Amino acid sequence: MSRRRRGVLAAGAALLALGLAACTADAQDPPAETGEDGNRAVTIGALSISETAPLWAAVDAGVFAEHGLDVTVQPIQGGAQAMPALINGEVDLTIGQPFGVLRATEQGLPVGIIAGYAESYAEGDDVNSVVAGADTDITRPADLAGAKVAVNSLGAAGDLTIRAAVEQDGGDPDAIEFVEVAFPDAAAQLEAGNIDAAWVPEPFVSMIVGAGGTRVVDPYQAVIPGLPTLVVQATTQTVEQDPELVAAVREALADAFTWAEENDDAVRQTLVDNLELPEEAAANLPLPHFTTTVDQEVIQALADLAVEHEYFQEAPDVDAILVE
Amino acid sequence: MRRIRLRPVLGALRTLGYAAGLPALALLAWALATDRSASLYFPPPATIADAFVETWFGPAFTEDVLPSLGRFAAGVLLSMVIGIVAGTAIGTTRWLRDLLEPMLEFFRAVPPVVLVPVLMLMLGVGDTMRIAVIVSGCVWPVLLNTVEGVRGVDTVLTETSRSYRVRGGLSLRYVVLPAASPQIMAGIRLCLSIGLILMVISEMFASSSGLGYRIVYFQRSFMIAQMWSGIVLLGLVGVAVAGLYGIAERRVLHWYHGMREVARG
Repeated sequence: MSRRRRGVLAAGAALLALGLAACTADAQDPPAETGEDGNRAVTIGALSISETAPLWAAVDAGVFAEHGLDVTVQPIQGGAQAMPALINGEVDLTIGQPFGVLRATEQGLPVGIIAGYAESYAEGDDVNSVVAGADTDITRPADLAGAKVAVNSLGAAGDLTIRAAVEQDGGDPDAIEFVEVAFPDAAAQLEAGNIDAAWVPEPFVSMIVGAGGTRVVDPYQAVIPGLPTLVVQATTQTVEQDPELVAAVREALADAFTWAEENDDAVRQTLVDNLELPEEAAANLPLPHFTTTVDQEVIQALADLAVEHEYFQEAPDVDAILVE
Repeated sequence: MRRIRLRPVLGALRTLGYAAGLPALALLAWALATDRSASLYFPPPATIADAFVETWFGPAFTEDVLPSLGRFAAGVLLSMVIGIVAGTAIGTTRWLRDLLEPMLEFFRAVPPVVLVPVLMLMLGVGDTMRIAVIVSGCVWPVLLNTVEGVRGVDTVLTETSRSYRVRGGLSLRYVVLPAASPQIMAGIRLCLSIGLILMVISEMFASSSGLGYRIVYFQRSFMIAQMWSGIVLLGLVGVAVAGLYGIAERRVLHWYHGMREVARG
């Protein structure tokens, strides 16, 4: 497809979206805007975390522009805070945890998953782990029963998979005493002996293990190997009215991930630029596996687990949540 | 005969009307504004009322509401005791006042919220930390008002009682503290409202129970009606606390109100 033809198509798609927006009286519809180069303007809400690196880098390198998309990466504070922005149309797409989408649909919010983004590792060291403090006797998941375990936010995939991992190992999940501690605070709380173990991502896993902590279990890997950590979310309105956008974003993101694999230096440079990480830390930070595909069975397993552990009252309709 | 009996009834009705009128209007406005809207973030009052009953009349009452109220009560009572004892000591001792006053101003200006991470490390992630957060904010109005109240006791009063050899504990109990009580009570009133705010804030960190935790949890889980019901409950707790304060104030300061009424003629 020639560049010009793509531009025309994008403009056509934008016009169509505009027309649809005009037809629906709903003011919440995000107006489709075209930039000066005829590219469709898209705002993507993303957390300021290391996982966002390939997105930052690929946008800067013009990978999205090749697909007729003029992408702005909007920093967001957290998955739940991003949801109102998504629904109000302040951002067109958000990148967040799949559990958040399941939870949102359970509460009747019209959102779905249009593509994968990052997933945990099915084998080897996973992207997050439960680590126990140096002065505890905790070595295996069952030992977490009766212990004080920190997660960054309760009622989500972290504590759910920890409960399941403890149960798998023969422990009583109800005996785990969960507390909410932000990831950056966990190491200090472990050292002070205020908590026994903490569920943290890298680089905190390495930090705590380096200080004498024990890697107890990688709960995602132990319970649902390859569980996505982040997915791309859109409102059902966007999905229904703007399939061109969904398709373009998927293609562009897949290209972005391929490009990112070949340009690791550029990706890691964005960690220095955006997160102010020291260069050495940025070079060594383990990153998750980036992919746009989402395994339906994995999401279904997460939903089933949430129902089993009574996080949800009824099973979310995974078929409807995963956009074809 | 009839008219005389009717009058108090009408009076009571009028008081009730004034008290409930504005809330009722606000509720009506809320209902009208949310009637047709499908906004997920602003559910109609009936939905919130349902969520209120469903959420709080159950295990959540013992798991979240009671622990919250317990922390609030402990924090506020501790603040009152520390504030009045230390305030009396500082207010009656000149050198202590000169020594401490600049430092007190410094500590008072530190927002308790920024102390949370420090307190978390020092006191752990349990209730001790949360009560300390409440005290770190609530103690100041009581303490400073007590200092001012004790220092500002009418000199005629102190000198007269001294000439009758009312000294030490006796003077404190019957002269100084009662004379300072209007200001102390004003400090306590501030302490209560600050305490409620800090109770919620302290439960947003390293928590797994309490009203503040539960409201944030509902917000994060998109349980919006439940979140609003938690906010309503907080408001009701505030009203109840203000009511209790009113009763206590009338008891403690009945002489003062009586005096002011006489002064007004």
